[in-house]
Amino acid sequence: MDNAVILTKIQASLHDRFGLEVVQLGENARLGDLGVDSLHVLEIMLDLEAELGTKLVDLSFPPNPSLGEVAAVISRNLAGNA
Amino acid sequence: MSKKRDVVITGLGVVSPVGCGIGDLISHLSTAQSGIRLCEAPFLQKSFPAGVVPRSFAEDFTKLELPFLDRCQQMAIIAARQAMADAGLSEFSNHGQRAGLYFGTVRGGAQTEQAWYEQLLIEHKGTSRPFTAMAMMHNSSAAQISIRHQILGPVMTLSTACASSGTAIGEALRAVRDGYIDVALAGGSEAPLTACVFGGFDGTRAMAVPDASDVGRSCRPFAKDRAGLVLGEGAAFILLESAEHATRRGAPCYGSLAGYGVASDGYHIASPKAEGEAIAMRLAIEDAGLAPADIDYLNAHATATRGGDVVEANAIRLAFGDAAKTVPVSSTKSVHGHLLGATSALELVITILAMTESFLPATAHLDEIDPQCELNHVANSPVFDRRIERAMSFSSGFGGTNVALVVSKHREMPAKRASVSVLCS
Repeated sequence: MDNAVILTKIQASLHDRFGLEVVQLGENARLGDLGVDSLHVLEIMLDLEAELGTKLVDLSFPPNPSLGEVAAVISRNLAGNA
Repeated sequence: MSKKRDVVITGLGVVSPVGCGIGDLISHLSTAQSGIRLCEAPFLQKSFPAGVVPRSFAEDFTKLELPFLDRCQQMAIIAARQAMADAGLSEFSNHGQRAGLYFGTVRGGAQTEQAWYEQLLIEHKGTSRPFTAMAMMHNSSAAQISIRHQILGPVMTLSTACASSGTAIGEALRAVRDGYIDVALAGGSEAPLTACVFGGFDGTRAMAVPDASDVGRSCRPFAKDRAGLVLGEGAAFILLESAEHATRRGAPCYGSLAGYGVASDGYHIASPKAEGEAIAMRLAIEDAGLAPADIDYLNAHATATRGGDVVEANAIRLAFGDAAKTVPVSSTKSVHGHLLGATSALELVITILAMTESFLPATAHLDEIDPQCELNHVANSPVFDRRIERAMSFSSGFGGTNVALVVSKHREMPAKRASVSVLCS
């Protein structure tokens, strides 16, 4: 699954669960600027784990990551699990 | 005991079954209108009478905030915000460590905790959602308020059962009076209307059944036909500050928080003891530099249990002596139910309003007084145009902690009347 698909899922989750407007959720948008903290991200990870039937092991994000960077970490996890 | 500083009350906030906002609360109390209604408890095959706050607070918070906030914390944040706004304050970063928050609760995030039990035991989930621990914690309300309003000194959560918010307010008084801090937000919150809490208390056989004719009459403290306690939900806060701090910023006050008495029974985990209750009342009166006959109104704990109300009536006679025959007494739980950790704070707010608005709140549904509970009851209807200079609120908790708080009018500072425009937000 490529980064773009994962990014779309993250954007959808942020919108559906936390009410963030889609226009805010560009690839370069940073979590801190969106008011999203590590526990919100963890919630989204749990959604993805359930949807994809996998366990995301390495959740070491850079400080205040962008949505694109979050997607990249998840993508690496999925590749490692494949 | 030497008194270091005069401590005044400059803000009130409330979210309760009998009013959301101070104006709404006064309106309910002036008619003794009951906020008790029938409450379903999923998983239990019965309904309970309960003091219900008839609204959701989901619209008051963003969807990013809500997962962190149990209903207990939502109501706490809103009531605290009301109290601060009423006092003309909104954040305390410039106070450094000289602003504090003292909070009481019994069950904390009870709804969140029950939701997690459902996931664990019914859905067999091995791990909770990420926010669960934060929303379950007893100190979450205090922490959420301190973060939002930058209260950077002591942020303390006390759990002394049904005396929780009373002890929180009393300890806040001491902290301001003794000079450790200049300003304190103090109160409590409780959202216990869940199957776990209903069923847990039902196990004590102390809960009232819904009144057959009118569920709003289910809680009847001091009455011959009383049938047990009725749980309630809500939050209440007061803003305390040293008189000099309030004067410096030109803030009027509702009055002084003049006395605090706390005493433990050392007797039984569930049964109260009149001697311990009486000592707390006497300590509060002495702390305020008063005599029992100086108290113009007593808001009693009386939960409408068969045993507890008699013990408390005996305690009032012990503490007040001859003045027990004349001091007007009421238990407003008859209309709002028992808010557990928040009940002391709500009842103190009601006591303050009785003093500032010159009326005696009633014990509703008190058609026939239990002879064992004979006192000077304010039965069924409030009494208006009654000058109240000093008043007491008393609370007693499972485990034996008893707390009494005395408020009095302030002689020098500008007197504040309740703002009926303080809204529930």
